Amino acid sequence: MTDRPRKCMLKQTFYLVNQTFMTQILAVAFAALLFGVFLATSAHALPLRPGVIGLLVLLLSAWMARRYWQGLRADAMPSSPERVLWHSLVGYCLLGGHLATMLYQLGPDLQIHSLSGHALAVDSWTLVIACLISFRIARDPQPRDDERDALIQARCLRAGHYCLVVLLIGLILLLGFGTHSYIARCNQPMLAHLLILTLVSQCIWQTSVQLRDYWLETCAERSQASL
Amino acid sequence: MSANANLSPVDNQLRRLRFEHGEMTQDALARSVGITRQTIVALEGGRYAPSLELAMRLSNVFGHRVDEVFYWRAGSVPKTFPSSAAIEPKNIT
Repeated sequence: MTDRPRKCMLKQTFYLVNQTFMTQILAVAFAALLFGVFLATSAHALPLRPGVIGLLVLLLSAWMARRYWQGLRADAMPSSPERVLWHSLVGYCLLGGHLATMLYQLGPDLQIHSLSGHALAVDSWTLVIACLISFRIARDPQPRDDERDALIQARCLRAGHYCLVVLLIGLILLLGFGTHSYIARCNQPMLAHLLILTLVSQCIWQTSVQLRDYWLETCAERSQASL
Repeated sequence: MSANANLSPVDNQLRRLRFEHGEMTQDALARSVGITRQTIVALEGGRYAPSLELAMRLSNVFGHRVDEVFYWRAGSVPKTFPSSAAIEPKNIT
């Protein structure tokens, strides 16, 4: 086998692997989730509040993403909705990872007006503010979208809706039948936070599915260009 | 996965028309009709069927009729309903 066909085959295999496993999307999602878990578990060892560290890292990553996208050729640059989605994925995963770990650490009896309850609130709201500021940094300065983006969004909104229904049914079953489960021992503030976590999970799913749609388009475009 | 799995039943002449019109870039065409470059790429790759409004705007850029730019892909023509000629009008007496 000569060198050129082998390179072509390797390229095709790489595209196929990427197309199947969505490596970039999964890597970014897992990295953000793990960072959220790290912030929640290492609060005592960090020099600043975990929320502030999350804010600084989010701002830095948004600025780096903006610089990276600006440096790309026009035909390799992601569209405006894709930029928003990448940012949303990072934000939701970071919030979800942090919130889930904090809730697990606090246990089913969550006291809102306690030291740990206040810490959870301050860090979570700092991260939400960080997401809003970093969105302003990472977004396309001249946003453009069209009917194809609206179609993809509508399709993924449906996927998100089904995901939310499945999660809520799971929660309802656990609340109704799992009398000795962790969920059944949760107090009202904890249940409220679990519902927030359910919404965040739905957003993560919807954003991932939407990014996957764009990703498949990009893969098709690249394989078409390489033919 | 088949290569034609994601192909839209509607094909088009956009790529040819772009080159015939002074090698217009995808971005220039996209900007002229107010859509993104990625949508032009998807259209040219046959992976997206535009709305009627977009099809008319794109055809208008090249000065052609919609059916000259967009057409059924070979083997994708849907089964049609019986033509109106085949339906006999009821006699009203």
